[in-house]
Amino acid sequence: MTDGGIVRRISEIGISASLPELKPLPVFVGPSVGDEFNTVRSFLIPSACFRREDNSFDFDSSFAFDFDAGPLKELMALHPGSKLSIFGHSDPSGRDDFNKILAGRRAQSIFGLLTRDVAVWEDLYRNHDTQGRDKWGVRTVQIMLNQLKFLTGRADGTLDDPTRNQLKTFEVARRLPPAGFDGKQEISKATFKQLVTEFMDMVCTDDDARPFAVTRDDFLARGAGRDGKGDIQGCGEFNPVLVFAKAERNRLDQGTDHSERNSRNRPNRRVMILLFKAGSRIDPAKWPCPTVKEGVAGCKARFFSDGEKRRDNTATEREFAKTKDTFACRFYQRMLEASPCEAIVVTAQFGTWEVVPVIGVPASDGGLPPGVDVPPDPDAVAADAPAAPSLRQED
Amino acid sequence: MIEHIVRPGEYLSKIAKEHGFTDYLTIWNHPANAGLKARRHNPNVLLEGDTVRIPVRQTKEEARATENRHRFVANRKPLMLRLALEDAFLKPLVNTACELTIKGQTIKLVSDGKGKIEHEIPPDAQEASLVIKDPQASFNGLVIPILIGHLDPIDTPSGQKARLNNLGYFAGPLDQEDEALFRSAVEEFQCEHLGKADVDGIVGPKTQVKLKAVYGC
Repeated sequence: MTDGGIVRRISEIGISASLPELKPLPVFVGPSVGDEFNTVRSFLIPSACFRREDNSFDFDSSFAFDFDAGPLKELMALHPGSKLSIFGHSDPSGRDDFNKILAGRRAQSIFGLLTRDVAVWEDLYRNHDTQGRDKWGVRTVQIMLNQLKFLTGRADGTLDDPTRNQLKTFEVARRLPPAGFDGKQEISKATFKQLVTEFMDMVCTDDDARPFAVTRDDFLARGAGRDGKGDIQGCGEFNPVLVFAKAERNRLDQGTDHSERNSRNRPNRRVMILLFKAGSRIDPAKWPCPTVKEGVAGCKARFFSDGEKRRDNTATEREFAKTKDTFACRFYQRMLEASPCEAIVVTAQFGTWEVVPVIGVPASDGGLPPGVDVPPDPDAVAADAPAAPSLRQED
Repeated sequence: MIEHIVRPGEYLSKIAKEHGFTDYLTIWNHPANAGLKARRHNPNVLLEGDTVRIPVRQTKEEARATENRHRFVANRKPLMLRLALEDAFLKPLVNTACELTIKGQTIKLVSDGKGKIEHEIPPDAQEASLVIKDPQASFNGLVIPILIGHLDPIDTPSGQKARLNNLGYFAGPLDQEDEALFRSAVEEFQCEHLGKADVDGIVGPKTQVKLKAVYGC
């Protein structure tokens, strides 16, 4: 496993890369005269990676309102037959267990979006994160209606008349039973299905703004595991790519305004999609990661023996790409050891983009992608403008 | 008595053949090699630099009548190449077709119900290659180079590293030092095969016993 690979695209919201192909190591065996044998087991190594920072989500929410799948489509074309697995990460503030569940729900959300699986989203919509604050609620319906040009005005989660009226208009336009909102302020199954189906095609698109979707068969466990085991993981705050110096952490934690901390923590809030070699397949029962709905025990069982120390703040700031010692989860690190996708390529610091040099950018590709995306300005969302939920860099 | 210093890739059956012995046990069970036997346990997993004492060959005489045909059968255990094939996070590759190439010959084999294949090899075989022929297996079609007799004993870092690599706990190429990678591979193994309290990244006696048992030799 050597560092390197080819960075395909890089922008301030993410990075995609192909990893160096591993030739099988020679197998050193002892011949047998008795009953000895030699075990030869293959190992699972990603062939490509796609990391996206958190601007698909709102603060404390798992609702994916946008997913530019262009880089993923490109990687899947470059590595035909590859199998995917999604790893959600949150930043190191807040409780371990809350963050694990939130990160898992975000991975689940991206999985549902990519596979156009309404049932996966329905699970997130109906079953709130009872420990954390992730509740899809009315706001989610407003965002989707706005996206489909049924303009509810603000998407603030308040069930007001414009929202009720626009939902009714949508239901009539789509010849659905006009169920409206029920006593729990939720919409009917049929309406949810129609709304989500149309919304997903609008927000999960390729470079030409055409809908982009994959199937469960494109995933490592083929969607066969319980709660997506093997296909989606919530890593919580266990694997930060950036760990502040202790003094810095203390300074950032002070007071009630944590916007600077949240801004600095941005690279840590990310979704990583790994592509495994064509034909890779796993038995979900043997997969080390717990399901997205399980607690942190399964994660901690796979920690380095000094895992807690690794993710803890020390005298100096540490970046995974430089020190390789910030991930607590050994299983995750061993897959990502050689990956350029865990380098902090861009960090947002008070409005300026600081670009850190990256290894392995091919000159022929020109390095930076065409059209570096500019994140939408939250203030630019007018009261009656459609869609574009505000982006808050917090977790 | 000759002293034979083991070179990389040498194993006792091969050394025995070189010195004209049909049965490696003649050497292995010789009192002069008692120390080696106690230290290495497995005659075909020796370490470079080990000393094998080669006794003087004894000629065995068998009296038979002339003008007749007689069959003489050398009494020795066959030397086997025995592999257990597994897919990462999946299961043993049972009843799986594969091709073993050794000394220019390609042999078609099918693994048994436990994913094992075996094939008798000449006692001077050094290299082979294996190709799994199963579209369901993640290493389908991949040519896996096999170096016979290169496995070092379990109490050496190189022997531990090779077993970890073969078991899919990538610990780095044998000719490259990567302490952090090796330690993490050891911890992965300990995590999956020993208790939580045993995860320390150090290949102590308990880990050695387990690694040898899981690996198979």
